[in-house]
Amino acid sequence: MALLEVKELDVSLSTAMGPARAVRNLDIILEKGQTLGIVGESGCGKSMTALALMGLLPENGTTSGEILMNGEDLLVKSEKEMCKIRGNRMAMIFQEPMTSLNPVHTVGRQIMEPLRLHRGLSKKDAFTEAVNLMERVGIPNPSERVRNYPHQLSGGQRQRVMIAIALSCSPDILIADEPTTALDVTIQDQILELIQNLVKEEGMSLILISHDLGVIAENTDKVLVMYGGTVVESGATDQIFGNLTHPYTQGLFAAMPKLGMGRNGRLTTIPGTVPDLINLPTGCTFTDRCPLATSECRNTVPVAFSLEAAHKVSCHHLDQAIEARGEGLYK
Amino acid sequence: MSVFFAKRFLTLLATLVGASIVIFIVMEILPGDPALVILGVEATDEAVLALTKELGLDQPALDRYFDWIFGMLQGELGNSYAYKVPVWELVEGALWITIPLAIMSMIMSVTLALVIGLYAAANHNKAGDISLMGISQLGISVPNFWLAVLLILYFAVELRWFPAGGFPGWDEGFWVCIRALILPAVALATVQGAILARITRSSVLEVFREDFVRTARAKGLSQRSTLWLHVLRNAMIPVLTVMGLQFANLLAGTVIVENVFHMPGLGSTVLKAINNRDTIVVENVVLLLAAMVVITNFVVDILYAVIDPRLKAHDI
Repeated sequence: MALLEVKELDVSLSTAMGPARAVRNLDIILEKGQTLGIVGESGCGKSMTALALMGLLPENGTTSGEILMNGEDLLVKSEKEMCKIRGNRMAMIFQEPMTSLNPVHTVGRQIMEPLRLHRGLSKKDAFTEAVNLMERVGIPNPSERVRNYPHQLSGGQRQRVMIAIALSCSPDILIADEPTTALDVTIQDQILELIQNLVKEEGMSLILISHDLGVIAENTDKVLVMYGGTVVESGATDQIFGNLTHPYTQGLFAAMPKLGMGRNGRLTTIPGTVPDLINLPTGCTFTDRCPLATSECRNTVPVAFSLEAAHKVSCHHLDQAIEARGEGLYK
Repeated sequence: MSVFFAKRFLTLLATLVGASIVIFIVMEILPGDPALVILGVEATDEAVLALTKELGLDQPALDRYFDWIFGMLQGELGNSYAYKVPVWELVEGALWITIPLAIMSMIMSVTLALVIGLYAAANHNKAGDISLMGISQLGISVPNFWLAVLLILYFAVELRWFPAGGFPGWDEGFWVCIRALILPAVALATVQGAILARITRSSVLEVFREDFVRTARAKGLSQRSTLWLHVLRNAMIPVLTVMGLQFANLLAGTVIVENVFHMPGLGSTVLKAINNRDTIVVENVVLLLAAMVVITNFVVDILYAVIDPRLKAHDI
């Protein structure tokens, strides 16, 4: 049994304009110790997927499908049971270290909280453990820093504190939602390396969410490429980056700046904008922006096609997409 | 912290000096000669002049201002023009009514506001929230003197639970006095509490949208623990600000409500003194009220720093 198995997850947000279908028909299989990357542009449903896994969707969110953790469906669990899972068996690191810590409590107190809640440590033991955790995530002088308030720490240090909080109860699954997006480039690598090392040491599974293909390529075993709330391509990281297939994945990759392209080289872009989640096209969500789109794409939802073991692509024009790999779909 | 404290304390002193100047000037400009009021319109010019001299009102204004201030610093408030007794004697009894009344209604309004505001925020957009906010809207719209009359009619005249007015004095026993203060305190607290409840609610809702609340939930804290452990303290900052400002309104309200309930508090004292052109009493009482407001806001400022460590860091 996989550690985490998500089956046909749908997330819908009720809005004044009608339901916004933020995530559709999502499947995830995550084994113990595995690292899964979820990549896609803003508004593609990455963060909603993470919040749905944690059971922390906004009030107007509803879910259907199954989220099986060790075979138990989290979606049918009561709020009380979920509280025992969050921060304990499944923990999350957020994008904004500047605002994700409570400004009126010391960082020590905030690290101690899950220790006392889930591991039942006494105040004194939790304090000692908090100092240890801070040391482990590489905060210098932890016995003093533990008494600091968040505003006294830098962005990178705050993200380290967030990691210490997430790590505190040795969860089975760590979800990192754009953990480095808000940080300086120099700090980004340090934080990713820290997460990688801790995940290895603890034998945790990691779900790394990012819009940065480089981050995903370097840090994950398998990848889901999401577009408009649904997975368009999935597979092992090597397969995906070795054989970019779906027109969207090809576009994402083409849009990355590359070394040696020169100052005057223009970045390739995918024309158009992300689809409106309230009025989704009936067929493939990528139709309006896809260079290969035909009327078939507009009307029929493509099924996932297995290219090779576990590498799945949802596209009506696979052969053309594969052919176009060489010279590129976007000019 | 000490820099923060010192800055705030200097502001407090400066405000009081400013207030004393404004009060003194207003009383100077106010038409009506105390001596004339005491002696009546039939009095001869000589008698009025003699009384003016006796009261020390013939001195230049600046001298009288400094006499007042230095006297006060030595604990000497001077004598009432109208009653020829020390001002302190007139004020002391009134203070023992007004201060307990103000404290009681403040406690009532804050308790009411926190209970309603937190409940409404926790049940955002549900029936409880909507009806409580409707009721609080009503509470804001009701003038306190009118509410006071209604309270007297129902709870004093109809049900006879509380006295309709007057104050027995603290020698008559603690609970008798508290009973006499309950209706006026409720009349004062309703409007203030209703406003504060709405502010508490919106402040709590706003903090609930903060990222650190999501972090707290992701740690495994329940919605309720998150409210108590993470939201409340952050939400208290605007609530505290309004509480400080409301204290001034509350004191102004006591002037009216004490009159409805026939209580010889500071409000009635100052009204009577204005009618008598007993300027020295007015000046002292108004400065006392100003001091109470300024000190309350000083305490609020200190509490800010206790609640939010970032303020200390910036030494605002």
